[in-house]
Amino acid sequence: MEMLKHPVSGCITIIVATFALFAANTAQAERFELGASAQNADAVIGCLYPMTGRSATYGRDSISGIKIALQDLEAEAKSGLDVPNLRVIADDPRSKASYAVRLAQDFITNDNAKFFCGIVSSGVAHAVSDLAKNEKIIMVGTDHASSRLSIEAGHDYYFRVTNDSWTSMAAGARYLRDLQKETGWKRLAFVGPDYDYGHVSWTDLQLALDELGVEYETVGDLWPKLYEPDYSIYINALQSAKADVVVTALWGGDFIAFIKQAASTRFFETTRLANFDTGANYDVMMALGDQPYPGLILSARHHNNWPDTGRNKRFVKQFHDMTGRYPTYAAEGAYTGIIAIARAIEKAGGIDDDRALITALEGLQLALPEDPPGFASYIDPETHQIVQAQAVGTVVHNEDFPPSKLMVGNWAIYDAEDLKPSKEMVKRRRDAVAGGSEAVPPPTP
Amino acid sequence: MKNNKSKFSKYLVSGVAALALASGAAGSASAAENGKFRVGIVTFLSGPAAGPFGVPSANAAKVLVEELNKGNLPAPYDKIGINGAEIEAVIIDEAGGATKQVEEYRNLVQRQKVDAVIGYVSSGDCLAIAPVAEELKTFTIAYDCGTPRLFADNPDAAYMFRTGLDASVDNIGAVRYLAATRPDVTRLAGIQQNYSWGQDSWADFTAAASALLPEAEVVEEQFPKIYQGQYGAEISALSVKRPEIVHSSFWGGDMEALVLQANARGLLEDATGLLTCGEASFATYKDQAPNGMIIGARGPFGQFAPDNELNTWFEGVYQNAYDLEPVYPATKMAQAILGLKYAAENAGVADKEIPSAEQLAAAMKGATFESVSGTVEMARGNGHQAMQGITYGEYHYEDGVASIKNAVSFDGECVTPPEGVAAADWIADGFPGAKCN
Repeated sequence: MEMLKHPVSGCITIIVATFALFAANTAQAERFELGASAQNADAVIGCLYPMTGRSATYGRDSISGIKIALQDLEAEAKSGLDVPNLRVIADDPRSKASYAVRLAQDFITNDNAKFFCGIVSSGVAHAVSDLAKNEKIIMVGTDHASSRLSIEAGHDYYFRVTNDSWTSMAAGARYLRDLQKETGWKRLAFVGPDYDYGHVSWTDLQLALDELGVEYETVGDLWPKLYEPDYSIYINALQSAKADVVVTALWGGDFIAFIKQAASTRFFETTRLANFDTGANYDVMMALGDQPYPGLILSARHHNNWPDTGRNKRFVKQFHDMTGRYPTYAAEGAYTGIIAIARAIEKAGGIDDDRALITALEGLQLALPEDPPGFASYIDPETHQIVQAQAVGTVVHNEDFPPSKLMVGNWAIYDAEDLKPSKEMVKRRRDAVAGGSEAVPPPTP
Repeated sequence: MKNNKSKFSKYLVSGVAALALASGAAGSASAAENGKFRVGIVTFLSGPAAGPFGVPSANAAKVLVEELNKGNLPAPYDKIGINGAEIEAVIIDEAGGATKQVEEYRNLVQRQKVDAVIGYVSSGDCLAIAPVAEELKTFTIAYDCGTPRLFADNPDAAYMFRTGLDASVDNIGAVRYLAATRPDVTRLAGIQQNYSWGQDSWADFTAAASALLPEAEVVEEQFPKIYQGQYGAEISALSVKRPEIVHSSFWGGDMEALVLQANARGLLEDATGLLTCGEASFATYKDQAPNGMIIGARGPFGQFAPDNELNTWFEGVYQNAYDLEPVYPATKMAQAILGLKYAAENAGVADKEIPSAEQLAAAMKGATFESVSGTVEMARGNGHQAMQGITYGEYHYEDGVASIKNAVSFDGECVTPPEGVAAADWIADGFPGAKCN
């Protein structure tokens, strides 16, 4: 491997972490350069994360996750392992697809990037994924979750290493199936952000419920815009519809705002609110204060208190030691992205052969902080989507992760293999696109 | 590895001293002429096995010979030298392979005219030397090598003895430790050096696990080549199978590299390492090995040696000489030298007389003698192979101090196949006749 020629010890160090305060140009100020220098790098990874606005927490935590990954790789190098020297450059696409594409193009042109990583917004991710396909740059998605990226729009150069909307909704559908046996709920409503991620999440949930044979009545689907400041009309509509269960794909600050506003009404007295993909994020736990609303059903792509494994405890501690706070799931996703790229380079023997790198990523197994005992995540060769277990639960008092006084508990655990989309499902959705349709329409219950 | 060089600096300085002692001996008169008991000491003084095995062993031989020649040992070993004759040690390097060692052995016997040979870490070297010892009729003690084939392949051995235990004991003991401390374990994995030592160790371990841990399954096994040095691919392969226990018979630099790399790559966060030779690096792991890692000493040696007068004395002189605690290879070398002294002083010859190889062998065969590790019974291999118990425990490092926790010992008859029974057969039959406390 070419990288054998480089001295490894000490090369994987964080060399620059420059914040906006010190630069005149805003775009340059948002840029982070981490890991190996340009001269010593075996590979350059260009990452896009939000640093401002409601989703800035995701970007900030992702950068910390990347730093932890680089620290771990540095420790591996010091222990004698031949790991690649990675240089990571991160910038803020400001949730705008056109700007993200320009930044990504600059990663290729100016920084000689071999990989893309990151991206919170599925809409932005679609645009950058198209660029990755055209420019033959491997893109490792670490946060965005629209299942359309890996199913309908999947291509050789696109991979994703956190649970997608299908995985989360497949777990959610199983939770709702089991809940129905206990409570007999019938009336289901959905509220999600009015862009790709929200709509595909609703489709995924309906398809998953249909596959399980769950009978229910849809009493509404509502589409506030992303970063909507006022959810009162949506909350009123959901209450008027008398939904037993409301599933939401609102995320981050939007989800917190929705909960806060719903809590000022009698919403939680009559309705259970479920968020299977992002709802158990640590920022939500903090925002809830000491209010464990009984109706909340939550999960996320990584939890600080599940699974109870050494690997998860270590990751959470590393993050806390580095930042003085506890991570949102975005951190673990970004960490996974960098580790996945490093392992793929090792497996492929370098970065010169795209096909070897793609082959290395297809089927790549990784033991990750979010993996329960006895299971390791792996990338499905067919969809390039990582296959992971998921835990869904309710809110309980837990002050192990201050300042939050609540965490999710009462876990229901769903096996990773059960949460994979079936081959038939993948084929049907891909065939629908090939036939001119955007996606398979959800079944009518 | 860069880190290991600095770790072993103390050992290596001592190793040079041991070699200097050998040079002096080589230039002196033969045993027959000067009245001294000349003993050849063979262990690794160079290469990857030198740091954790050879140099501590050579250091143990050096300090013990010096103290024996002064008559400073506790009873029953307080007689000067060996049977009153001053000991002259010829210490040579085991590096170079079996063919070279056979040549060196012949040189020791025929040109250096040693009265006995103690040596060999490598099982390959032991197997090569055993028939030559018979051919040259030279009293020889294998002090460390672990192959069960030593006496299985040489059932009529007259001059070859082993005062350490074989690898079957290591692995049966390891499984008994798991059964005693982690009876609910279900996922086992292993990484072994790809030669007979690793393959035989893994075969014994997995067979014993089938008998004593019936709920456990082997989820992964890896066999990298010896001295490979980098185990990234193997560690990743083990990690993704999410084992609870990772067994390894790695030794020397390979073992230390494995621990460092497995720790760095996260394998040992949820899986517990079980190293049958792990105690050899007790003094050097520090915080680079995880707390709770299970280590063995291939018997009641090193950190697992008993608190008896002989061991307390030995630890004291070793510590004074080298500013380090003796690890198990040092204890085993001391045991072999004491075995030789016991044989010479019970051979029925006059004071200061040097017994013949036949007299030494007759005294040693089936003997029971006291050692730094407690009582040694030459109760297997037709009286040529020692039988002792074995202890395993967990490595812990806190506030700059390494210690063993949760140590559990098993009697010799609990972990040793009966005379004439192969380990594989004994395990397959369910350990008939095993006596466990």
